[in-house]
Amino acid sequence: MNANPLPDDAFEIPDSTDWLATPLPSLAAVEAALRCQVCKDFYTTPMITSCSHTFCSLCIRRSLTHDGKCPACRAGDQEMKLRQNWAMEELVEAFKKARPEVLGFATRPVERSTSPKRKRVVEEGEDGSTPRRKRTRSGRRILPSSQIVALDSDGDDEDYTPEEEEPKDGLVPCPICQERMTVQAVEAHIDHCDGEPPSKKKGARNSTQNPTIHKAIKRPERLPHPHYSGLKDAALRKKLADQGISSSGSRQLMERRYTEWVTLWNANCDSKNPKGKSELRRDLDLWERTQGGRAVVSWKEQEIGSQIRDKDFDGKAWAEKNDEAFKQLIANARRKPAAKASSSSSGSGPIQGEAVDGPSVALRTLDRPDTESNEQPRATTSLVTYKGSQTRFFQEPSSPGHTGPLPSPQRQGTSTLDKDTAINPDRTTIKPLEP
Amino acid sequence: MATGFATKRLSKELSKIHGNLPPGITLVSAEGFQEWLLDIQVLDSNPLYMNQTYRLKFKFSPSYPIEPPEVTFVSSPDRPIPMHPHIYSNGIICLDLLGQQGWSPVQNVESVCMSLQSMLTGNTKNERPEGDANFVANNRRRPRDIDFYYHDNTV
Repeated sequence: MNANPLPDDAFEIPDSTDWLATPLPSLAAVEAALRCQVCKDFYTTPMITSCSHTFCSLCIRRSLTHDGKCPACRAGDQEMKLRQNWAMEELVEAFKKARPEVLGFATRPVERSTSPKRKRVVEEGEDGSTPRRKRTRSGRRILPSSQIVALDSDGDDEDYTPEEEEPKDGLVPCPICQERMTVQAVEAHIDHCDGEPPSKKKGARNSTQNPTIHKAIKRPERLPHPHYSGLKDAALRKKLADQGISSSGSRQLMERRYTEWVTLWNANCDSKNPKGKSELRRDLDLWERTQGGRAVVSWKEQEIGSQIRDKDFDGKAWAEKNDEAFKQLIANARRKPAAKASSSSSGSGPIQGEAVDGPSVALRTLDRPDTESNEQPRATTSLVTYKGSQTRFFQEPSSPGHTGPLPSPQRQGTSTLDKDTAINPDRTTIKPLEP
Repeated sequence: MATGFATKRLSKELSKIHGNLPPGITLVSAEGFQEWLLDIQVLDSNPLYMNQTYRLKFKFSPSYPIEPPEVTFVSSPDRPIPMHPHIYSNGIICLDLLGQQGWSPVQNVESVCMSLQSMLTGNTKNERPEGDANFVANNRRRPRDIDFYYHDNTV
């Protein structure tokens, strides 16, 4: 772990491999089976697919929204068909609860001869102070017996009793559902106790304040994924507003935001302990910062491609926005053939002619592999290689400051082309690979 | 930095990678959760790749693992680009696993490395893809966007 670039305490990452260093390595497989294959975390609201694979509700919903296939076997599935896997959920909750204890126990020094009823208690020393998650080799060494005190009864038995933690809160468990409450409350509670165990980890602790009220949270209704193609901007904006979430940003961003919201919402509906709407909004806010409108620029650039492929793409606005960049590209494209013509009289005339029409044509000129493949067809490369005879073009007043790296709009402009299937110069080079 | 699901998942993968990696795969650097470098070696006696180490660059989007990482070979003096009919000389890999269609969120960095190892192991042709020179000279697209066009390629 020394090479970890992150401070270890920034991310406390329990992992199934934690068991490998203990005397119980087989538990690594047990733990791995309780973790979602997509997020690698313990299952949160596990859902089972039609093909009987289990994932966190949020993970499988995100995956299905993305490509409609099961991540494990690639079989097609629909969100509608997902069902809760309660058995798995209980298993996970139970394991999560037991984990620190078992791991702590497994990493404690063991002396085989001790009877199983006895537990070693290491007197306060450098090793025994904390139950360690990651075991170091030194943790294994047998401690001198003077440091070990074997206790017979008292508190040490709690490791072996099924109800491992008995909080000293002055409450008693309900004999039916095990929910903890005051002695007086039990009687009233028993009359209407349905035997359902208290909602696992949160419920057991939070219920202390209001123990008698067995809160049956009404499960919110699931939201459908709308057909965005049939949805006008205004209608979509209204949908967002109705959900109380931001309706800012481009059409494409709004769609992505609404999709993420529906995913978060529906996953929350599956949950045993659904969160409040404000908490969901916080989740969406996180999405917004990592993938949405406030995400880093590099991500936005990646998004531009799919945006352009989108059939609702507003080409006009795009053209206006990048007008300057396009014009510069056109200008560059014109100069290049001109320069070529002056140095070698090869036929570059047609290209020059084409370039006047508009951005896309001009860009195509730049991008065309057959005519320009030997002469740095890339705008970026051009800038570097132009240093020789063609530098003068960049010193002209019409395009000042063009000697440096390309401004970002221009890069966006070229990426327009990159993703435009209609003028894809590399298609031919790739095709032969197809079977 | 906000921790989206990509960061969470990658931090888990990283802790696992630090623990143990399969033979022939080594982590070179993982500064943050956008780009990692790994070295792979082909361990059997395939004469094409014997005693060579190849460097892989993984680039992750915030949608990882829902979306595939961008994986390419990078060359340096002691890290050549392996010869393979599906690996262009600029390091771009033509593997359906890395395309939008072939990718699955259950894949991870380790499994991708292993797939590439086995892709090299099973290869006997000492050649580049058809049209390699042309492609390398002209391609400006990101690998993830190219894969879009040749996802049905079988390796």
